[in-house]
Amino acid sequence: MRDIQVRQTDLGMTHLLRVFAVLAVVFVAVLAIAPVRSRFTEWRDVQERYNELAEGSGAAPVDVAIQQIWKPALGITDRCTTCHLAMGTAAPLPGDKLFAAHPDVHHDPADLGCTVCHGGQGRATKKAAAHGNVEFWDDPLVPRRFAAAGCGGCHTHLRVPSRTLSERGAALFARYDCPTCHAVDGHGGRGGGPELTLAGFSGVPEDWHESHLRRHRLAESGPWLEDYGEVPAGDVAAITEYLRSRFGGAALPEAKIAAHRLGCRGCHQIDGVGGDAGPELTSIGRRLAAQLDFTGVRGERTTANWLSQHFRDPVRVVPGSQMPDLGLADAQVEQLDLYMFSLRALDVPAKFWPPDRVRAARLGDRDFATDGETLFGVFCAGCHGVDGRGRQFGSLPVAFPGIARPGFLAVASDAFLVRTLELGRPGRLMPAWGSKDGGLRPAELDALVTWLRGQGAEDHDLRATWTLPPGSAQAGRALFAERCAPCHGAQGEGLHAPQLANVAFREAATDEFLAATIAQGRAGTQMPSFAAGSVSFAALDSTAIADLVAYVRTLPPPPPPPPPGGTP
Amino acid sequence: MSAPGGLVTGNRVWRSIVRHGFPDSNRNRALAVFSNLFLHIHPVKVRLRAIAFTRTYFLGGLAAACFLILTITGILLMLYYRPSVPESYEDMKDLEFVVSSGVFLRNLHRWSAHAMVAIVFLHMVRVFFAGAYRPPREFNWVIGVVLFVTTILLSYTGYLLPWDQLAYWGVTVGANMAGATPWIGGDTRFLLLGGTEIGEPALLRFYVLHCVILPAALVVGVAIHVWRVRKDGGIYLPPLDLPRETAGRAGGKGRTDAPAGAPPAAGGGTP
Repeated sequence: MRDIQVRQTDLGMTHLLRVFAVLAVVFVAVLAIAPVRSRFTEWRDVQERYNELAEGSGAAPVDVAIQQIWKPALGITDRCTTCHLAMGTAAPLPGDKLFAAHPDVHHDPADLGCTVCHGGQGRATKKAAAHGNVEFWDDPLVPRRFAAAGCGGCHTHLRVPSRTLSERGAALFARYDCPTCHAVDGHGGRGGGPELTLAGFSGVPEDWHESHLRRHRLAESGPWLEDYGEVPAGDVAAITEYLRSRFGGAALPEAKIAAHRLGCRGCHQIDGVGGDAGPELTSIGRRLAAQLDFTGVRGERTTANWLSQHFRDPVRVVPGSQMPDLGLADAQVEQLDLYMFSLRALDVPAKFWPPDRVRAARLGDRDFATDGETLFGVFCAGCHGVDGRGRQFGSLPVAFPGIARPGFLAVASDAFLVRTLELGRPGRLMPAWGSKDGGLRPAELDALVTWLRGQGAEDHDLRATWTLPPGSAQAGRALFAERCAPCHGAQGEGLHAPQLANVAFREAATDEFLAATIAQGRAGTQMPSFAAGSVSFAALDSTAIADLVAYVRTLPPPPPPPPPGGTP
Repeated sequence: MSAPGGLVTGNRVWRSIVRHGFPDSNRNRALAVFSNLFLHIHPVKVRLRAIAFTRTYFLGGLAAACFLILTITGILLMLYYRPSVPESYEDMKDLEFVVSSGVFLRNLHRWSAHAMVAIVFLHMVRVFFAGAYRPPREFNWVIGVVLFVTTILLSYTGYLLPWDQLAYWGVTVGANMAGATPWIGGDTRFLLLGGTEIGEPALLRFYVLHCVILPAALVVGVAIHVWRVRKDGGIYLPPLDLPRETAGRAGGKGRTDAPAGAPPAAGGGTP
């Protein structure tokens, strides 16, 4: 018996139940679609296309599945071979670039994976994400044109060799008949010694000559006894340098060497070594196009294009930049781009480091030769000119002094050069190389001075040839305003010419250096000889010069430059 | 009762599970509700007014449904996720790129979490405007606030787990906010992060908070919350069909009488 009355007013419950039923069906449909969707992926299409092509050409088809190169020790899970099938285990197929084999390189891609060299997102299985063209992925693919830059992921400390020494070593290598046993760049090697074409990468043992000699002494017959002998230590060093410059024509070392002859590190730090006037470049190769300002850049919005245009005209791309237009040729720009892309600051486990990187990181070895010529190219050439003869850039008001000119070296003592290198010119572009972070070591400063000295006159004590009468600063004042101020500034703050009021300059320069410079002028620059005079001004006698020197000594220190940098 | 039906329901096993007859009498209907774990969250008597959609918009139930989805998807995600550095980020990437329906799982978890926060908030708004927080239900409002905070904390602790930039800085901000508490701030921050800096210990703490402590707290809290609603006679119902002057007096000063939804003396007893 029913003991309640069901009311017929259902408050819309029937309608709600219908809505609920529809929602339930939609929910089940969504649940069903999610797994089905994973059957329709880019990479499945690619693999099915591969299998179609393989059927035509008789190659073995692949099982349709995600493929990966997995190296936990190196921290990589690269699924690139899911689409780039022939770079994994599948056979290359003609007719589709995607199914081509990897070009022949020194390392086996199956060993190191893909992303260590090429960048990108190895775990991804979608094209855009894998190539790194998505938001929040900070390691984009290294552009194909600069693929050789990928070597820079591990080979961060490829050594820039000394040009002079390695050229001498090359001649000696031939003269000592080393190619009889060792092949280099495709020549020689019939004697069966190890090939040395890539000695720059693999490293050259410091004691190669001693170990050769040991074998020579132990040999009882044959080429070891007959063809080897004593080599002077200097020749051993030259040959070693030559071998350390052998990179088998690889593009990255060549680009790096080229960049290190242009003096980039005079202003930019790389791996903690270099000047501070420009931005640090240690990880410039990972710069995303999205992080760059393309306002002043013509053409495509890629990091490569930005870099190229920036090298050609820095101020147009980065308004207010102090970087001068170095007047680079297209090939040089290309090499600089390549070198920049190689600077990726990749976190590679130390186990995989090449020997030069281990030595640099653990023993503090430099990634450049430490002779004066090379050092000049690495640190000085950017401002003082590749030949050291000084430069004047259109975008900067000041001319950089020609320090490898005989006229300058004739008056500049070694003490002046060393002091200048140590102290720099505070407030100007010249860093204090002797004391700054990322600067030069004392032996390197000495090597630089020795090399500079070799470019011109001998070091000699000016006091032997110059005797200055006592000068009056008061008398020098008017003379300075008339003769010096137009270029050096009313307070010696340096308009177009060196800053005479600079504290470090006044400390490094002796009175005799100042007097000799005023008297003789500086050939090749705007600085005339005031002792000789000219059509436009009268010659100064030694008293007047002494007055000027005395006045220069009293100049007040210039105010600190406006940040950042100010005029050089 | 038909013969085939009797075959199923007439035997001892069935009767040991279902301990009442067909709901064809008030007694059996009541028994059907309160001898069933899932149905007994309802009071013995549910008024039609109380289950109308516009009464509650089903917000409490929807929040519970979100929590159910989050639990299921969360457990599945736990199968792939390792709370360590850098594995957690790599596992996220694997979920995105190689785990079957991994993207669906993550997205379902994420959107359900957002929905739950929104729904819990709307639920509170509904309760507030319905006046359902009034005596004797004041303490249940307090429990509700605690549950709301727990929901927010669940959402926030899940935020760190991908170990991406968003997560890292989100937790940096949160930890520094905790650190700004007067007197106990530094210790709170230390407790939260398992150290002085955000690193693997912090990730592990947030993981345990997210997967164990906070869900457990939420389950207990919801149990008390729902139990109290049921004890108070179910969904709060405003006085209805009262003469206008009575309603006006009730709405005026000193509303001391129990709300109309208060349990009837007979039906509200222990089931």
